[in-house]
Amino acid sequence: MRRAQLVVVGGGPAGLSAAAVAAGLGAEVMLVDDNETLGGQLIKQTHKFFGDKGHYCGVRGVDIATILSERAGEHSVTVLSATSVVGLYPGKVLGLANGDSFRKLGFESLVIATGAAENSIPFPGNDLPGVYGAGAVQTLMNVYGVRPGRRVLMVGSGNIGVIVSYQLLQAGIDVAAVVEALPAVGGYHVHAAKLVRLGVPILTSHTVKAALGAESVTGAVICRVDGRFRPVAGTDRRLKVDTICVAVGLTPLAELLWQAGCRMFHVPELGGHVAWHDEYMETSQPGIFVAGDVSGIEEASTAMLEGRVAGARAWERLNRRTRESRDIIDSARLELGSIRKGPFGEKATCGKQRLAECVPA
Amino acid sequence: MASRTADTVIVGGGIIGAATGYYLAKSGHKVVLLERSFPCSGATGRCIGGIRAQFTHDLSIRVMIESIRLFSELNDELGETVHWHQGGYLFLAFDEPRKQAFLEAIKVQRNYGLDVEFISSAECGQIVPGLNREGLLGGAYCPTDGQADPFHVTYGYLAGIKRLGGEVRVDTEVTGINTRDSKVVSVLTSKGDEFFCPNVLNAAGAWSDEICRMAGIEVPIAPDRHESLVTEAVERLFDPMLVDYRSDGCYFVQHIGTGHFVGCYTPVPLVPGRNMDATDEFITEMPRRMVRLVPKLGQVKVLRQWAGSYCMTPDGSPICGRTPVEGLYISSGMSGHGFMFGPALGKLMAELIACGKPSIPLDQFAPDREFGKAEAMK
Repeated sequence: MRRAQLVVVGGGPAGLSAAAVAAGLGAEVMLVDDNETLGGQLIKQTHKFFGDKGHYCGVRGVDIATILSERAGEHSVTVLSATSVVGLYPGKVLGLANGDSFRKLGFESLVIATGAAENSIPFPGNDLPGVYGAGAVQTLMNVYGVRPGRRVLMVGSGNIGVIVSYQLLQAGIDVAAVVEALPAVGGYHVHAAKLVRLGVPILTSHTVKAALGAESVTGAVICRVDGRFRPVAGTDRRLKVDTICVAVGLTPLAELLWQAGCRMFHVPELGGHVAWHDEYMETSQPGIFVAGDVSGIEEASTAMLEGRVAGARAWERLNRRTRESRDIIDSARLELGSIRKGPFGEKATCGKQRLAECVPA
Repeated sequence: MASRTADTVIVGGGIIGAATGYYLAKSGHKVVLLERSFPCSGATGRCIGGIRAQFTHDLSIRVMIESIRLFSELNDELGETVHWHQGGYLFLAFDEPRKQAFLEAIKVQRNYGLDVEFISSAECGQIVPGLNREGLLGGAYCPTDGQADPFHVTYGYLAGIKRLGGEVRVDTEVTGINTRDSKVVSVLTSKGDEFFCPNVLNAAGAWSDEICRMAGIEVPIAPDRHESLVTEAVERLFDPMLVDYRSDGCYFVQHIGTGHFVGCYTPVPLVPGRNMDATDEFITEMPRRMVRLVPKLGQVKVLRQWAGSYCMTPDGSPICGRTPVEGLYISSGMSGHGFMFGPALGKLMAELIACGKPSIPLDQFAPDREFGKAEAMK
């Protein structure tokens, strides 16, 4: 069985950053990812990133994926693509599945950067063909060039909901409406404003009540909801759509962390069950680190910074603290702090705070 | 602290507690079942659902014949589909001593009217198309053995308890058993309740030694770890549970309702304790063993693996009956056969608790028996 010094699970923004940083410091790093192409969700993000100052401001997500992959390559990270980590076993062993083959990979240190899965909500007809997660629609369009439908109802006005809606319009697909159960738009104002300017109604305090159709989606029923998210009688409206996109948040993909025996806590602000971790991203299991959405739902920019912290700290654990590793960690943590100070960092900050107050032992 | 009363408090929400509780409730007992975690969270929910009467211990054979009768009526009894299917069990003999042992066992089993016979290697191949018969001398085959779904059976019994006016409390750990003059008085729980009751049934499986210790009693049980896996669903390949007793053998069956194969093996050496980690050794070894027996399975993917406890006794037979503390009963130490024994032992233990006398005497399973000759068809 092969044994690597550091194994990184997940080749998205967090995992790629962790791998590149640790390899740059001198660690022998293997990066395992279940897709053919590295980059995680970045490869479908055709929009430009923005922020106050941080890295990659003005760069499209898909280009960030390329930059990060190249950097990992420069530092001689060994990449196992199209390979799923299907188990974490006692004795620091991972089970890897690649096509029909299964093999084991040992590790000394591990960064788990598996990201998140899309949530769904219950409504009649939500299993009809034509009901998608918004992320899935984005992948179909932007990665595979497949048009998911002709007229779409978007459920959820967080960043994913509003960005994907705009990209649907760019692809020549009609967006009938965006419904948002909360009384206000969740995503960045700039994205929402673009939609409104193009005539897409964003209906706050509204939700989807049912998907219509026998074989596939032919319409949707939406309605107004009250302050406790209960449908308001007499406000039902029918929309003629063939696609319903559900963008109602993400849940950390924490299975490996459970298997590792990490202390897990349910923190709603972070999207569900997350592993307790210290300020250096190390979990209650020594040598096992988290970074990115699996440590709490945030965004690509924070995922990259958490990845840098986790990668550098994993290297320090294997070797020793150096000026270089300390600088990487300090600057990444400083930037994380500044991103989270913004209005959209409030939820994650609160979640991370709550997690920090949990007792790991 | 709230205090309540019951006729019988049952400790453990696996098949044993659920079935016994059901038959007790049916006989008019007020039953309160306490489960530390969730129903089937112990060995029941981790077993592969095999059911057979092919044993060497005569009481086990008798109890299992009764259990199979109960399983075959369970859909109607519980108003729940329990996926009972009589696909048989085929124990394979790859050497002469094993064949002789099976022939001996068959003599005993047939005495109790069991429809079991030793069939040739060729006949094994007919019942299990695609079986690798290299070195196979034949097998002990009983077509009335079968399978059922442990979750549906257990949840069906639990629903029955509630329907009959009993209570099922999950997330409720038993923290103490109060006795006076060597007699049960009450049971204390982690939720702060105290249940006053004349009877307590310890059906806590791998944890039943801890429950007994609360009343100052020791029972000779020793859990060890068994691992299992489930494959993706495929078309029906064959009916019986295959059992290969070689030291590098295994046993597996295809679930009738779903098409998944489920199986496990007994590790050599045993892994004692309640550790329930799934291992990389098992996930590499078990498929190899399955494919050796049925090469076609090489094309089938594994979905998932997990581990559970065999709660072993010194002779590999259950420990069921009264304890030295009056009112405290035990039904445990199922030695890997709790699910299949469940319905019959549930009914018999309910008879013992409610009427003082089970319709099949359980003396040979009594906690104070001499632990002698071991069950050979483990």
